Amino acid sequence: MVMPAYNEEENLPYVISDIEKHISREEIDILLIDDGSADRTGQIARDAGFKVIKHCFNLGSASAVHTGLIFAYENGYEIALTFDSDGQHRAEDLHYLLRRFEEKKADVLIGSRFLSSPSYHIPFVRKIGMRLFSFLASFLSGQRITDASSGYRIYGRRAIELLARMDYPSDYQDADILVFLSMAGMKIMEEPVLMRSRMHGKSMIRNIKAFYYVYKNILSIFLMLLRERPDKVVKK
Amino acid sequence: MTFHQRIVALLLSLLVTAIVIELVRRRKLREEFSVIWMLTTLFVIIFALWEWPLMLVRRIVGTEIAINALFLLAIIFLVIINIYLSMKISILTTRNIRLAQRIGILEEKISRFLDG
Repeated sequence: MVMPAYNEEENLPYVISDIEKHISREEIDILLIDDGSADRTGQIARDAGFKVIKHCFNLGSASAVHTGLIFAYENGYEIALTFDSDGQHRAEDLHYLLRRFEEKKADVLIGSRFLSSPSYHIPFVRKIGMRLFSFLASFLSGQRITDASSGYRIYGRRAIELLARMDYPSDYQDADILVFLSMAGMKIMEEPVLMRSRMHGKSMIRNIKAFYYVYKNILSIFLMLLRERPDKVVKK
Repeated sequence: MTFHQRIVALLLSLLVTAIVIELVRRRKLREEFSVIWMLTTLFVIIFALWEWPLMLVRRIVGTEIAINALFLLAIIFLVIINIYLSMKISILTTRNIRLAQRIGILEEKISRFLDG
């Protein structure tokens, strides 16, 4: 389980107790990527017995996930699961997602908040953006994707290898990654999950960043189609 | 260009050349980046010494007076160099990220190794 975290000392104790309630450490290794936090995020995770990789400075959440995927690839993990450390994702959904991942023989499984009735308020403008990116991802990948911005994902070994070796985006990793994986012939599936709103702190996508987020996503989705084919990335 | 303008252009070019050489000597500017500035000063020197190259440029870009053609060239050059530097910064940023990721992974490996 890969958990990107940046200054999450307030949310982390709650997330850890949620994980401990539902996940056995024998079956799942938990790796927290401390993305250059200035607070005690890394120490709290270490005290909880998580593996911790610390970035010497803040690289962005997508880079933190990428570090986790590189780690998973280099250490031979068959499955990597990305899980937010701000309390949005529920650990109790994990076993269900893993079971469905195995049953469906998917390469990527996304926990979609739009396949169930939304459990928290998403601002209208953000919802429109999410729907737009999901539409683009579905259209370009030819696979049904309702929640392209969900960070609750499970990747199989093939996807881990491809993502670990690609020129991964550093700030946001949404629809563009899914389009890239589908270009490599990966099977992308979704299952409904409930998500919570973050407990403490602010979302990374707010104010002026929201405009950049929309711009960056649309640009990267289309550029993904013009860039190097995924099979060439793996051959390198 | 008037004689006075030519002298000023020549002196400025020589000054920029000297600054560039000094920065390269002190290893504060890489040879790779000095090329573009040296070429620029070379062009300015050519335009200051001979009139026909600038007249040729004026005819090509269609300006009324030669100095406007020179301004246009300067703006185009500055835009190109800005794009080039943005590209270099992007490459460096990506490399920085990859290095920081590798350091993080290696530190984790070392601490695992030390913990036995």
